[in-house]
Amino acid sequence: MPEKLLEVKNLKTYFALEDGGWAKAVDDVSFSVAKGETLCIVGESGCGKSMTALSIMDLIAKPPGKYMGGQILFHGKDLLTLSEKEKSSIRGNRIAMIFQEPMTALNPVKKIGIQIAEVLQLHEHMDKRKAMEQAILMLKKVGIPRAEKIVHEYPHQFSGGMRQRVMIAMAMMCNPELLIADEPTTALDVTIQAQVLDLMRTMKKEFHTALIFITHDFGVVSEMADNVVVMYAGQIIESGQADMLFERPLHPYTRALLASVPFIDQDKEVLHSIPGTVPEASKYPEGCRFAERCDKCHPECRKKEPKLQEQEPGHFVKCFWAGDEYCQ
Amino acid sequence: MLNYILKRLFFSIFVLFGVATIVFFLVRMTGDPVAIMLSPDATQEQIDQLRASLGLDKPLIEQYLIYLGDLIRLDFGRSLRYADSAFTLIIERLPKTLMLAGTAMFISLCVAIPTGIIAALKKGSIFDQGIMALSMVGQSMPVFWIGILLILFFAVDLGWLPTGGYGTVKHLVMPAFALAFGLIPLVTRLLRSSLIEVLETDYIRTARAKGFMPRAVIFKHALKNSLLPVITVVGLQMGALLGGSVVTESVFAWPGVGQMLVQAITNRDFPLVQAIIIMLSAAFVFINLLVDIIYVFVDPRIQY
Ligand SMILES: Nc1ncnc2c1ncn2[C@@H]1O[C@H](COP(=O)(O)OP(=O)(O)OP(=O)(O)O)[C@@H](O)[C@H]1O
Ligand SMILES: [Mg+2]
Repeated sequence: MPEKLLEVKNLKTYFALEDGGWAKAVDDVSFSVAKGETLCIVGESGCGKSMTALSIMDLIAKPPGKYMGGQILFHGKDLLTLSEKEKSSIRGNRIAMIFQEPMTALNPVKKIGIQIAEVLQLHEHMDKRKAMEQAILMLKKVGIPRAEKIVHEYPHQFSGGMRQRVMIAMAMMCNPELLIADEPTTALDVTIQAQVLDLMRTMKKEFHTALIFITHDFGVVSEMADNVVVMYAGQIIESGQADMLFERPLHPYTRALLASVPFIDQDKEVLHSIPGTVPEASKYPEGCRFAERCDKCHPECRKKEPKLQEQEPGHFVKCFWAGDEYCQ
Repeated sequence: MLNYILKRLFFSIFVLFGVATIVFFLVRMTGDPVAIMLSPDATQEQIDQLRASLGLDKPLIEQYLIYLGDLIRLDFGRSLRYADSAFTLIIERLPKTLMLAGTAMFISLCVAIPTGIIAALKKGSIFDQGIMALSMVGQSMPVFWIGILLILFFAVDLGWLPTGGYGTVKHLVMPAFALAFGLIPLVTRLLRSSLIEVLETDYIRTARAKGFMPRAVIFKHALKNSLLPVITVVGLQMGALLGGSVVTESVFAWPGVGQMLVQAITNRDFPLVQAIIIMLSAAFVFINLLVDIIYVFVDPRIQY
C-alpha cells in the first residue's frame, strides 16, 4: 500500500439556502490520493466536483458554505482543524490548484512575472529578483516562448492556452506535493487541450506531484488516471483503479457516462446521452439519487439508499445492481 | 498616448468655447452692472459715459466678438469692480482654494480608504452596518449645515477655532472638515462596494489558492482593481471642489475663488464672472484628462 498523501473522509460541504434549507453540494465523500498518483474525479456538471476540490483548499465561501462533517487528512493531519495561517502556508506551497477558467483566473492588473514570482516570495521568502529568475525558468518549462519578455506583460495579452500554462507554472513554483486541477482544459480548444494535458503529465512526472484531476470527460480520464472517482449528486457512486473502471464499469451511471464518450479507437455508431438532469442539490430524492434516470431502476431503489460497497478488491460501487444481477 | 492627449486637448478647446459663450450671455441676463456701480442720483450723461468706457454701449454681438478675440489672446478682461486684470485676481486666490480642496480631499481619502477596506473585509458585520448607516447620514447633510454646526460648537462654544477667515492652520481645520464630511461617505461606500465586487472574482480565488492571507489578498490583489471607480469619482469631486467650495468658502469667509465668484455675481462683475467660470471649466476638463491618464497606469487593459 503506497503512502497516503491526502485522505478525505466523509466530507460534507453544504450551502445554506435563502429558504432555510441546505444544498448538499458534497455529501459524505471519501477518497484518498497516494504520493505521485493521479486521481480523476468525474461527473456531470453540478455533481459537486469543484466543491470537493475547493473544500480541500478550504476556499469555500463561508457563509453560505459550511462543513457539516468529515475530515481532510493531509499527511495524517486534518486540514479543517488548522488555523487560517497554517492553511495559508500549505496553499500554493504544498497543495496547489489550477482552475477551469484561465481567462479570469489571473489578475488583470498585475504583470505575469510578478504573479508567478510572488508565490516564491510568499512561501520561500525569496527576494524579488531571484523569484523572477525562477519564474522565467518555470515559464520556459511550461513551454512559453520569450519568457524573459512575457514576465513583463499582462494577462489580457494572452490566449486561454497560454494563460493556462501560466497557471500551471504558478502552481508548480513551490514544487507542491499535490496539485488539484479543476477542469483545466474544459475552456480550451481541442488541440490546445491535448497540449495542456501533455504538459500536465510531463510536469507531474518531473516533479513527482500527486494530481487530483477533475473532469467530466472520460476521454481525458483514460489518458490521465491511475484511480477514478465517479461522483453523482454530491456522492461517490463508483471508485476504483482506472483500468478496472474502464473494463468493468459497475454502476449504471458510469456505464452511461462511458457510453456517451466518443473514443477514437472504437467505432461507435450511436453516442448515448443520459436522459434527464442531475437533481438539484437541495432536493435530493430519498433512496438512490440516480434512480430517476436509471435504466435499471427497481422500485426498491427509490425507497432505500444503496451503500458504497467493495465489489472486487479496490473497486467500490454504490448500487444494488453490482454488475448485472440485482443483489442486496 | 501622446496623440490621445493632444486630441483630447484639442477637443477641450471646443468645450471651453461653449462654456465661454454660455457664461457670456448668462451673466448679461442678470442685469446692468452700471446700475449698481453708480449712485442712484447719477445723471444720464454719467451713466452713458461709464457704459461707453466699459464697452457696454456696443451691440451685444460686437461685444461678444471682442470678448472672443480677447480670449484667443488669453486676455480675460479687467474686473469692473477691482479695476485689475481678472486673471491676476484669480491667480491670487487660486492657491487658497486649492489648499482647501486639497486638504479636504486628503482628509477624506485618509479616512475613507481604511474605512472602506475594513467595511468590505467585514461585510455584514456590526462595524460594516454602522459605517453604512453613518455614511447615509453623512451624505444627506448639506455642507452649509455642517459648517454652521462646526462653527457653533468649535468656535462659539469651545472657542478652539476661529469662526472663519484665512491665515493659520487653525483657520483651515473647519472648512476642510466640512468639505470632507460629504466626501468621506461617498468614497467609503464606493470603495466598499467596488472591493466586495472584486473580492468575488476568480483571480482573488487564485490569490487565496496561492496562500495569501485575506489581508494580503486585499493589498496585493484586490485594492488596485477596486480603485478604478474611486479614481473617477475622486477626480470629478476634485473638480467640483474647486468651484463647489463656493458654499463652504462663504460660510467660513475663506478668501478663495468660490467666494470671489459669489461676490462677482452680486456685483454684476461680468469679466470676472466669465474668467472664473472659464478657468474652473478648464480645471475640470484638465482633471478629467488626468483621470483618464491615471487609468492607463492602474489598468493595463485600457489603452488609448
Ligand atoms: N453558493 C452556493 N449556494 C448554493 N448551492 C451551491 C453554491 N455553490 C455551489 N452550490 C451547489 O453545489 C453543487 C455542486 O457544484 P459544483 O460547482 O461542485 O459542481 P461541479 O461538479 O464542479 O460542476 P461543473 O462541472 O459545472 O463545474 C451544485 O449543484 C450547486 O447548485
Ligand atoms: Mg466545477
